[in-house]
Amino acid sequence: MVAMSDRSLFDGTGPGTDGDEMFAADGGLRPTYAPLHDALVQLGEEEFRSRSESLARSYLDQGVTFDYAGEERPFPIDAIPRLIAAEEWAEVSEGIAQRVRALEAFLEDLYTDSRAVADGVIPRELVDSSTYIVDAMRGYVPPNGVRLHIAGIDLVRDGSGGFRVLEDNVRTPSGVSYVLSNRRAMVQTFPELFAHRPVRSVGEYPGRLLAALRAASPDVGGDEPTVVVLTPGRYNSAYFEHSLLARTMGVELVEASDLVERNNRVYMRTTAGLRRVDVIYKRTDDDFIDPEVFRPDSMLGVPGLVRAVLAGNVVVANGIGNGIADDKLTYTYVPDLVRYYLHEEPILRNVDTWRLEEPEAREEVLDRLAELVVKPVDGSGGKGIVIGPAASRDELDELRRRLQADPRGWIAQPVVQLSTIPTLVEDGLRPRHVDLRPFALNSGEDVWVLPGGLTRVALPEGEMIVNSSRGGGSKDTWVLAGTRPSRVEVPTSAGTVRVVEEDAADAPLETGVDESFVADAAEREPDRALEPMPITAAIPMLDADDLAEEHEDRTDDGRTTEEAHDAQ
Amino acid sequence: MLSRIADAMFWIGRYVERADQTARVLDVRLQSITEDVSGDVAPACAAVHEIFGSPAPEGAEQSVQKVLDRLVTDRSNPSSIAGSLQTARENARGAREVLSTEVWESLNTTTLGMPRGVRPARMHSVFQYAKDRCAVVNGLVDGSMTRDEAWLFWRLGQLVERVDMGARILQAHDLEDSSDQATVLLLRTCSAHEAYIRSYRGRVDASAAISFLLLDSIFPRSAAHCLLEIDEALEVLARMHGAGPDRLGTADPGRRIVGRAVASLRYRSLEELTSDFDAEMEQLQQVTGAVTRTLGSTYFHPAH
Repeated sequence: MVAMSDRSLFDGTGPGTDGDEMFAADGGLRPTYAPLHDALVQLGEEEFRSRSESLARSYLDQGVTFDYAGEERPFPIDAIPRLIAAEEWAEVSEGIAQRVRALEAFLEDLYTDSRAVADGVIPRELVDSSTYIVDAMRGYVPPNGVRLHIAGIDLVRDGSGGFRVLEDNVRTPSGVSYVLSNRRAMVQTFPELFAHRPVRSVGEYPGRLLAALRAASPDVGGDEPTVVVLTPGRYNSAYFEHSLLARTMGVELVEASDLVERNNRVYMRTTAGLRRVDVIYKRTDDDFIDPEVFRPDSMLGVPGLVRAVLAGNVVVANGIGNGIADDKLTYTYVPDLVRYYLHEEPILRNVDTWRLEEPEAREEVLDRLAELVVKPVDGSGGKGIVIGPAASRDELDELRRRLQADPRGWIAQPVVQLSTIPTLVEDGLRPRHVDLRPFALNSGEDVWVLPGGLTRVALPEGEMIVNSSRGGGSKDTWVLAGTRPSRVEVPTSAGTVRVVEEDAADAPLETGVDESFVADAAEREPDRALEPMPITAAIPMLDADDLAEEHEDRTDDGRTTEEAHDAQ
Repeated sequence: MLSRIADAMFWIGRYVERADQTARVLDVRLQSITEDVSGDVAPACAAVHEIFGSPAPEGAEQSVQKVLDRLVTDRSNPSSIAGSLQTARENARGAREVLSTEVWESLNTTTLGMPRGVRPARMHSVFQYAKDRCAVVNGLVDGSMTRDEAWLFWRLGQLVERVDMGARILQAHDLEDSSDQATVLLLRTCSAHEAYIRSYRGRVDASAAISFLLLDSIFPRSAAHCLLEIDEALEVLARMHGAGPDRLGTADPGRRIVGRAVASLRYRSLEELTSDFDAEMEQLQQVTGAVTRTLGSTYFHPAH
């Protein structure tokens, strides 16, 4: 009886396909997932469902929401986590770091010498035709040289099982708050699932982010730099995230109207008057950051902010004008940028892409429109994407006209068969498509990749677009801790191989405790040794003489009086 | 702290208090209307609307159900219980980084848990829910937040709203009616009945009740007690912002206003206070308005 209900948990997932991450096509369980699968089966379907409900309930209570069409909705979290083995993660992590370094070098080059254009690696037209280049930032060099502090790189697993890069996000990559809150919710709701294999902790992120932002600060003469998070406000779809990041870093969350520029410096309005701001973690679009530079008609933004940046008195992260680096047309050149700037072969491959501005490619794409995915180069959040096989004839005709009118505005890709993972829907567990967005932080010293990332899942059957604005949900992403040091080999253009060895044995594991506090305490330990002995140890709480007197008083009036008299 | 956040904290304090007070007032008043089978429902309901300064909806026949719709569940009315909680929650969403997670979650679940509609037969349980949940929120604020600026602004909001609501209730009270029944109803509306009975050993007296509600120094809802606490909070705030030695607070415009109001209540005879009671209570409400404005010009929107 028990066995029957147990087996039914995974009944609806079928034998699996090449693209399923848990079940192989022959129905066998993939080894990475075996312990998790067994633990879930042990739990039983009824228990699994009821815990899934409390998972959803906890998100509503905590206000883990995003704004959709003006309405605040809880972000759907699915209880089956996505697992990534240690060896594979080592490769992904190194690949992300490599890509971020190349994009950073590209941004630096573009806003200073434009060597890549002069050397013909990037066509001049790409740069000239981009609406994302911000002329005001040309020649600007940030204090620690970093323009790309926070990156989110979207990956998908293709039919052959390897990860490929779908797009780069180097302006305001969002979603890391769900990585943090998904983990917290999973640890609370499904503690026993973590018992089978060590999972790497994601709790370091806020501390690492704050360190990267502080490292970017202008020289403040030995003071601690003041960092703020700049949000468009509580009606922004990612407001929950802005608030969580500010709270976990312990910094102010400001709106543009809280900031003011005076004498090329930026201040925030506080109850004690104006207070200088050194680093702004910008979560607004460039267009709305400074009406002096971008939209003179706009009431939004901080007039004079860009002047203060150029004067070197404040740093904005990510850099203003980064949009050129995640333009989808630039994306097609990133493998070349890796070779050009880093003299290495790209570790992570792009999805095959046609540039519509190239006549031959355009011809092929227009011929095969019904089988391809076409994306606007400046879109985000799944906006404007047309999936050929799912589009009507009229939609395709309309698309054809638009492509011919503005070929620079579009790229095309084959339909990537995203991998699937069993996901709880109304009928039970069913395979649903997922992608993965790892996050990287660049402190200028090194690029750190958060072990985990946002796994987004498309909840409708067959749906390939995973964005929350299209009804997507998310899964907790578990990077499993390795049992031995990892080793990644990166071929260089000199014909040699760069070997990256990492021993993650000391990396923090998920324990259910907030790691950032533990790390903080450990850091403070040496300081504490330098402090003088606490004064309370030298001065007793009570004086011994006082105690004696107290005792005498007692014998005068207290209950022991009679005894005392007797003794006398 | 950010001026905008200080402003939000003040209003969260006010709106949570407003929700709590509204629930207390309605619980007593509507129950007494329902119990009194001989009474005329319509004027009694209009009197309830009057307390909250919101004119009774015109045209329609007044009923308890209409009061419930307007003052309990109407989320678009910031003076209703649901509306106050909603506004407090929206403000809290903009001030998450200074609120403890427990306070936020409690305010969030309280707001989400308010029913969309309520029938007279079930109203007491809704009032009880609102009062209980506000007590939880206030308790969490009390037990989990540092006594920093954020807390002080919350506390000021709570006290200012309490004085304001108290003045409204007293203003709507008919001084001519010195019957025990009317006096007990007034005391219960102010959640002061039990405290009064203990202080005065059971003797119900109309003018003693008024004096208790205005002047009792240790009853936490009396006007004088709240005003003194406001003064103390303003003093701590001013010291936090580096105010120098102050001649008993006369440099701080907020403290000057509060000080005058306290002196005026304290050092005049009750006869004098009640000779034009309506105007006195009107002025007390204006005092809360003036304090709110000086907080605005000093902390929330200072001219830079």
